[in-house]
Amino acid sequence: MKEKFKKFFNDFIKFPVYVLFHPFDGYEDFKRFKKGKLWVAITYLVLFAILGVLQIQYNGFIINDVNPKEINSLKQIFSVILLVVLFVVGNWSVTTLMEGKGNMKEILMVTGYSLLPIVLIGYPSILISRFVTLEEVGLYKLILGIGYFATGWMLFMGILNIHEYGLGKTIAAFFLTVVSMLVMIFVALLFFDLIQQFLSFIKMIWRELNLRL
Amino acid sequence: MKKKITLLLILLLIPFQLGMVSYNYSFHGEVLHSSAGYNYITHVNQQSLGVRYSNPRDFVVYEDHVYLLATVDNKDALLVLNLDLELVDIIQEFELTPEYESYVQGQVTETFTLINSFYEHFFEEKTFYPGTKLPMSESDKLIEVAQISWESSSVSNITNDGKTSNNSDENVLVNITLKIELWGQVFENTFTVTIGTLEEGLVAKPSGSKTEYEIDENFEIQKLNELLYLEFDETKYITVQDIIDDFIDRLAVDDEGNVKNEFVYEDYKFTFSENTPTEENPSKYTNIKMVSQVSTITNEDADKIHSSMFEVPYKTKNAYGLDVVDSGIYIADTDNGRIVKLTHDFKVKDTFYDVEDETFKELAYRPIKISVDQSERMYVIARNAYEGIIELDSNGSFNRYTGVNPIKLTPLQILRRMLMTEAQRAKLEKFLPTDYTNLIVDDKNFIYATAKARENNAENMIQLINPKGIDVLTRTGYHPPMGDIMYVEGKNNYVIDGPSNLVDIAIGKNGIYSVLDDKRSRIFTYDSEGNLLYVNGDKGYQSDRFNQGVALSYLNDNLLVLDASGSIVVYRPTEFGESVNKAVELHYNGQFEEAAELWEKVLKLNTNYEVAYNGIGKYHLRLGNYKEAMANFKLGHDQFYYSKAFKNHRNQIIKENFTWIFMGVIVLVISIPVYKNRKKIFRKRGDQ
Repeated sequence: MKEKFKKFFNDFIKFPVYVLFHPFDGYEDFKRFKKGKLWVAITYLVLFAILGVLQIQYNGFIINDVNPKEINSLKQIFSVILLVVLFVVGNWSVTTLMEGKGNMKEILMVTGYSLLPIVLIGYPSILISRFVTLEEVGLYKLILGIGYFATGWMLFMGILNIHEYGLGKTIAAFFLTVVSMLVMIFVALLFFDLIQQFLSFIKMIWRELNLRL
Repeated sequence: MKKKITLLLILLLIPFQLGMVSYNYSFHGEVLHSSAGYNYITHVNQQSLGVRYSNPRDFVVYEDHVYLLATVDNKDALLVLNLDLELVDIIQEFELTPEYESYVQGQVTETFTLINSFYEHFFEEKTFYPGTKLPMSESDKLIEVAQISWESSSVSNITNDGKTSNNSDENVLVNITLKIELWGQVFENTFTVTIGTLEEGLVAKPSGSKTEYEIDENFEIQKLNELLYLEFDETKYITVQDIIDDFIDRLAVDDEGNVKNEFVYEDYKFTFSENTPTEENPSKYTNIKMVSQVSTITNEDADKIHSSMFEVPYKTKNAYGLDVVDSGIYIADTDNGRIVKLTHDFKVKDTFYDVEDETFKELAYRPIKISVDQSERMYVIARNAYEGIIELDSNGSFNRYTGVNPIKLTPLQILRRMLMTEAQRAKLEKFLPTDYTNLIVDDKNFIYATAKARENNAENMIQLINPKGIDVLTRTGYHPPMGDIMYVEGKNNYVIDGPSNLVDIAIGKNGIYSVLDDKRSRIFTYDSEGNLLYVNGDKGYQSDRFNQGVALSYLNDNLLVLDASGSIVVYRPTEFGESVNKAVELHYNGQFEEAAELWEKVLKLNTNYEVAYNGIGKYHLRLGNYKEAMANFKLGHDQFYYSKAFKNHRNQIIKENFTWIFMGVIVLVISIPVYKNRKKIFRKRGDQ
């Protein structure tokens, strides 16, 4: 039992934190020695999706002025999942063309692992937000900002390492990933619109036939 | 039976209830049902006043009278009503006070000089083409009240009404004498006018007050410019024929589809007949006539001479603005371009004409609204003057512009303008600051002003301008004070779109102010912190409604609205409105406890009223019931005060439980090294 817990702690917290502070060595272990675990990545993704919901629901009054009528937990969760899926697919398609060494699973894992700081900081910050006054909001925002920055840092270093890119190429890859994400959104919207039109066309023919026969 | 009666009554009364607009905006900008702050009690109109008037433009409540500007029998009139809204007096003509009369007497000479300088400038170093009409018969335009007569030394060359002619081959010099009679004073001056010689191909004929020129098609443009002091394009055209050739393809067509042989080029209207050139008659165009489209004497010239100053008794012309203060009655006499200051028995004490500023050298000064402060400084809004509110000294001299409406561009607009060339930018619609629509000065010499809404600047529609000229309106309410917050954007046929169009502002007690929206016929009342207290008013032709609000004023606690139809609708605060007003007053004076009691009552009358919770919260905050204060501020969405209450609450908890917290910290500090060295410690014990 103790061994199991130690292993869990090691996989879930210790190793990701090590990656955060030693990105090159960490991602080396992550990629070559298969120290990264998919279930850890997915757990962090899920935790991040839930974090957004909890923040809206439980953030202190001073920070939270969301209209309760406009809260939609499912929308919140799906938007996070959609974003991650778009990023993973977009990055994979771009890096495949740019001679990246990482595969899709690794990209997903990097994305999941890089959410560690925001999850580790985000959950306690909900608690903190309930105890700050207006003057201390800056402090709260700073802590949260550090979390987001660390997430960005981890994601960047992860992409850089698993694809074995240089600095410039990583930046280019990120830029192109954003472009490919936009293209995917565009194509999806186009697709749905066309499907909708096509369906309504069939519906109209069906109705017409019914009226004539 | 009882049930049936109740049901019947409800059915009868529901339409009345639904007919009333009573709403407010929640913190999140949603429309909430709210009790009405003001209810209709009575109205007066032309029938009940017993006088037919039209086009009411402004009204002011001062001491025990209501002064109203309107049109009676096609003439401006100042209607005076008492506080029961019964007609007391109608004044259409204003006598002069003796002091002012002697002042006007002194202005006569100045007027003479102005008229003289106009003609001097006109006749100076010019040679007039024979047949040209000189602007002598038009001299009435400059000043109607004065007697102007002309005498020519040679009637055969210049007649007394300005027709010129010259039959000789040389230039002729003629002396003409100007004689002006005004207010018993006489002025005379003699000008020497040169009349040129006739040229072949150009004939001038007087046509009314203007001159009609008949030109030959081969007449040179350069010569025409020289003779008539014109500025036709010599590089583009050589003869008159070229001008017509240029315009012949784009002539206007009349209703029956015939091409009209006329066009306008540089203020001149050309008419001609078209011919097929033959050998006998090679001309393409004959019968070419050219008449100036502009009069010799323009309104601009006439504006400089204050004709209206000498018309006794004084009448106002389309006066739009009115203010009544202790020092007198001030009327913004719009079309006469002046401000008339009357004593309280309606005698003219003073008039203020020009504003000594660059803007009004090109723009006619048309004051539309006026308000006067304690030290008799006048604040004037002039039509199409975008510089701001004009501040005039008590003696009428121009001080400065105060309160400028800032222009805001969206980032996209800025980017677009950056990418444009200078020429493209010039073609773009000008981004002028919006003009103010109305103003009122409060007893601390702060100006409450309303302005028209502009694209992405609707939040600045209401302004409180301090003596330094800076907008200091408190906007700490849920939304900035701007009338309606939710509205449809873009034109559509079903509902009124766009932001409110505020036309008047009235100051109530304790920093409360109300604005009038003439687009949707609503009155919005705000407190000094910018909280929207209540909305009332409804569009319609019924007597309890108004269709197009013109002016708004407080009469004690009641609100008066002047409608364009001429009726004055009186609104009285409801129980709810009265409680809110009273609570705001108590709050304003720092009596939080009494205010909180009233806010409780307000909440009973109107559960949706979020602002009330803040009032209660402040009372609890003072008392030290931080927890209750927090709960109330949360309901009232006031983060600032919630934070204050919470801070105190937190400190209180820490103070009360200090021993426990301190002990906890000590235990924690000790337990860490103990835990780390647990093996050592436990082993030692085990050994013993």
